[in-house]
Amino acid sequence: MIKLLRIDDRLVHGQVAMAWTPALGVDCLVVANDKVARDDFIKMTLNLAKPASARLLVKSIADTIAFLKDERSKPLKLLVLVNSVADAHTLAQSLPEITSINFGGLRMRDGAKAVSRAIYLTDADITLVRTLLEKGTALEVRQVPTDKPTGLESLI
Amino acid sequence: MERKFIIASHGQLASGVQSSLELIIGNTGHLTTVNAYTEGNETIATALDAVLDTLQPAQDLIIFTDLLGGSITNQVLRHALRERVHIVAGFNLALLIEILMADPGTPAAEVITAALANAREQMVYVNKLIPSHD
Repeated sequence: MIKLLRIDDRLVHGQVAMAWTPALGVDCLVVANDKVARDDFIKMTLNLAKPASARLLVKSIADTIAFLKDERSKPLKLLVLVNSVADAHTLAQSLPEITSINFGGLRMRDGAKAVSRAIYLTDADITLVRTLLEKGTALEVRQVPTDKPTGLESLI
Repeated sequence: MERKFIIASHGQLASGVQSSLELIIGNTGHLTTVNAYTEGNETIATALDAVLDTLQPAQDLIIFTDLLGGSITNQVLRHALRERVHIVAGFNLALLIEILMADPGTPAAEVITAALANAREQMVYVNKLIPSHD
């Protein structure tokens, strides 16, 4: 089952490995990203960053959807990581079990504006966010488990 | 019962590592830092007493010091070693994260022993982990 779907442009790093993984009792991290799935060097660096207590899978978005629909993934306690709103939106459209999305970190990039200290969204992102909110998906902004979650709808 | 923590260092290492902890694991509520020998700072003994005086009878205090054999560790040892106070020298960030996030229900000695073993493994020559980069 999916314990958390998190959008974080750093994918696997300290907050994820040291804070979220133990707090959620996760035993498997899934990095869902088309580019990373094709890049052996980045895959290796993510493997160095992963917590000892969990497996790490790196899959394309399409393979992630197939994996999450597969019965064999159900017993796993999964933390799914994407690095864009678009990828989170794609997963949520295909997987009805995704009822909430955690916005952990999206740094400044061209055309993006700050909605919180750690989250910068483009107009295209905000359009997708509104689609997700209309669908009833809960969107929380929270960097680490001990932070107070803030509803994204109150920030855009 | 929640544990209490002190990080004590020569200079600003203690408050520096606290700012790293806040980024990575968030709130570090039960943590006091002692930046010894910095200007306008009270003595280590005064800072330790402030925490020791508020300790409940069944509450553990874990004190992290920067350097085994250094003056901070020596002063902590002389001043604070007593029942339920655990002194851990030579901390790194990985060690602090693991101990601060540990379940308060697990005995402190057990938590510290396991975290020390893991934190030692976190100190690595990264090149050696990468095929053909050593």
